Amino acid sequence: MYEEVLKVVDLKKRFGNNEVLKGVSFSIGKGETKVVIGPSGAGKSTMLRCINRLVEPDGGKIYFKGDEITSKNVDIKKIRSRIGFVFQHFNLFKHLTALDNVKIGLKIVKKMSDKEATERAYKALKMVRLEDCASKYPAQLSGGQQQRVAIARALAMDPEIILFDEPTSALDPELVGEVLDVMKELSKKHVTMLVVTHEIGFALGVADEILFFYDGVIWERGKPQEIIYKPKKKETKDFLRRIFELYSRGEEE
Amino acid sequence: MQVPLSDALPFLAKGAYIAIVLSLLSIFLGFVIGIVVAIAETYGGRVVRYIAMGYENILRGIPLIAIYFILFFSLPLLLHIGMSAFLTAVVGLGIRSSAYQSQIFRSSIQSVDKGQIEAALSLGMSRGETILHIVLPQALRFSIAPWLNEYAVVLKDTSIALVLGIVELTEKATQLVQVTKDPFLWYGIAAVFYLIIVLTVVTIANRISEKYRIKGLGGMIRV
Repeated sequence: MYEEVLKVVDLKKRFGNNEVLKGVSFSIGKGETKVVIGPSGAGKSTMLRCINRLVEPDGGKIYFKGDEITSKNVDIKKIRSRIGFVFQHFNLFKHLTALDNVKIGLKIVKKMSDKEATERAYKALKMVRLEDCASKYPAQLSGGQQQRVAIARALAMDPEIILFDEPTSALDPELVGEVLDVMKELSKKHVTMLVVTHEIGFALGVADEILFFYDGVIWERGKPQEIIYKPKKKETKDFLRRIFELYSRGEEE
Repeated sequence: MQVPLSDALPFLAKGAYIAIVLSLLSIFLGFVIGIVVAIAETYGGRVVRYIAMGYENILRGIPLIAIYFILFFSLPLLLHIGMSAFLTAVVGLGIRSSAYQSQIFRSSIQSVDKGQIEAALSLGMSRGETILHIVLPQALRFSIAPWLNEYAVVLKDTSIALVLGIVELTEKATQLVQVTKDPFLWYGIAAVFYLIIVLTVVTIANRISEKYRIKGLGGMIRV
């Protein structure tokens, strides 16, 4: 049965004269994975940041589990603790071990005891297959490992949705796979996910719907097979052609 | 007149003790105010920021001796607040140091990347929790080397407290010089005392620095 987790209605945001989001609407149901693609500058990251209000939207409404979270009197800290966020540059806390990175939200935000937090954190690290690296510091981990710790940090909070902001764009090519594998697993386990990415293969494999962002709006949307193989609009075709060229060039080298 | 070392050294040591106590109290006062000023300058609203910047610039712009005279002679006239000479020495040196320490902490705070702050906020932490648990633990580590430098400055400037009549190390040495007419020996010994104090503090700070070093992030900072 469809249970709505997130609904975005006519979201707008401008930075100075630059209108980044010109009215974006979509919704995500429990257990769904939606993938957002589109050229840079189309407003994808801004849209994600508006959802947990790292960026304040100028117009439109966002509903989380039926409650509007865009009004001023909402306790945004509470909402944020229920929405996971995985960043392009991992953003791990550099002075904390992998384990403590995962634990800190549990202890400070969820007020868990140290013992309970440690157990939860180990479970989350296990899910991203990094329990052996628990005592390592971020600077001692590879990019792929750091991003998996970041995913564990989000997972441990037991969020109702996880937002991914180009989680593999900052990684060396050979490390992309390990992060995508973890994300695919989560998708199969029906963790609700909204993923901004250029990984077309990932989108084809696990997305319930692809949203193609262009010029601040959702230009085209549909099932992965339709969007990737039979896009209707010129801009979608152009974008995908550029992505595929990049990929095939990579294979020739 | 000759003064035997067995008499002179304890005499100088008393002065050194006063210099140490004065410097530690001052650096601590400067540390507490300095962190508050740095946070106000970085995270405060417009008004708070301007007040903090004004405080910092004024105190960096006035000679320590003038700060002492203002605290000791002008304040009692203006506000009817009188402080003992020693307290005046601590407060004067402390607030001047706070202006320099706030610069140290401000640049350290700003060198913690914004992404970590966003990550902390995304977990649901408040701004205060983020500063306390994420920003300050890293900023303080970055501050150790420049902070040691500031400690050396504070220790050496304890000698200026003699204008308030405080007999610390340099003044003790001066008294010995007046009796013995041997400035080279006694100021030399006083200099060695200062050096020993600074080196001791550096050693302690390096131990702390090593203990809290963030693994994988370069070597320890030797000063």
